[in-house]
Amino acid sequence: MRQVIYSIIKKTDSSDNNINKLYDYFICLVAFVSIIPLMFKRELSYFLLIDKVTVYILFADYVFRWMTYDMKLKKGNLSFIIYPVTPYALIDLLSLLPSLGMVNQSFRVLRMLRIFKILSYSKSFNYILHAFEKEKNTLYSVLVLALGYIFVSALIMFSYEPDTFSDFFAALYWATTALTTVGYGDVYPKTDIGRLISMISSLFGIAVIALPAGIITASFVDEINEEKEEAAANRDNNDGSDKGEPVIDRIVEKRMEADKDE
Amino acid sequence: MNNKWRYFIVMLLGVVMNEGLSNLAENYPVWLDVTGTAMVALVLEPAAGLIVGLINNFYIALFEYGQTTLIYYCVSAAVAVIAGNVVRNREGKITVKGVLFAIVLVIIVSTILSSALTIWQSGGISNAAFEQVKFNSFVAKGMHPYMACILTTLIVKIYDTIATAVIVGIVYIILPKKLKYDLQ
Repeated sequence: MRQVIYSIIKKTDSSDNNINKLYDYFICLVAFVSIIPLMFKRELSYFLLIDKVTVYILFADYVFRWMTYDMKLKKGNLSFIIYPVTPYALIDLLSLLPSLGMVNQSFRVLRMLRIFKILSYSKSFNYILHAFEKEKNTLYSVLVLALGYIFVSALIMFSYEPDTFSDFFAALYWATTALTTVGYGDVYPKTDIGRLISMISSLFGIAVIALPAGIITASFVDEINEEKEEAAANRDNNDGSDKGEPVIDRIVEKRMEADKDE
Repeated sequence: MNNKWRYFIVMLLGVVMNEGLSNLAENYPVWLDVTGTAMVALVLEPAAGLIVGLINNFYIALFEYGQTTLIYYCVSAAVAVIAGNVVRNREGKITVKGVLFAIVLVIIVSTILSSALTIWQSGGISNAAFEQVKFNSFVAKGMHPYMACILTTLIVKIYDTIATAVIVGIVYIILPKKLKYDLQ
């Protein structure tokens, strides 16, 4: 029975059947419909009905994924313990909690997390996730650097212009909005020294703040290229000829070279 | 009999048992809403019990207490897993030791889950009238509402689990062999 359920709910790849694809589309549609009420100010009666119906379906989907997770993870009974703490399962559960009455209605915005249900089926989204995963150490270093830079900028500005900022938090707010180039303009330096500090810190700040974007973009492009190469290798192998071998060799060679460079 | 039909009939019987017995037990201090779930998990497999429990919880959420009770599915799920895995020994035979262990385990696990969910959702006040009476009597004696909720749930779960075990036992005995075993 679990085998049948798993064959229906597992995420589609090219070899899967129509029921499987239909189920994917259906769940994406349900997840999307379930967040429509959040786009309106008024609570209409049919929004409550939408919430009721969609939460039943999404709850059932959560249960089905949990009870068949061992087939995906292949770690036996341990899989059932691991499932609730996997990122997607946590997001799914959090998104259901407001509709299940487990959190205050002021947290109803958590329902918005159901968008991840749709995104989880997107290849591009998975590339970005992989890119984050691959570069997490670099990103962590850059984040620490950026936070440190914002903190120091705020501290310098606060000590030179204490009257401009109501407290240190206002200085932090100024530094964050200025260095990320948002610049709302509600808090700004008034003395010449303050403006000079602002100019210098903004110039360096852009470089620090822009670093993660470059890292993620490069990693994202790498992910796409790897996928393309693997797809090409699989295609060649599926042709039944020896044409695939050189492609695989090329990929292996390329990766070995990259490892050597590192 | 085709195994698919066997699954279908036993699961349907489980759903009917859950709904029928829980409606019959309305005026008594028992729920009996997992009898079918336990029976299906025991006869077929835990996964089938999980599905029957899910259908039962949808029914309760739709027609009785509202969607906020959906989360109580974890109690049905625990019963299905315990009934499907603990009652039988390694050779697949039902043993007295297994039954007793399962009863104790269900009482403990379902008390913890139910009272935790009730406390989280409503500060310990249950939707069920018979639980409210017991809860109020404990609170009137000066007990903390959370403690009163746990104790009320424990008492009701002891009655409920024993009644469920007796009913499941009777149904299992009278169930035709072609439904009990995969004879193909």
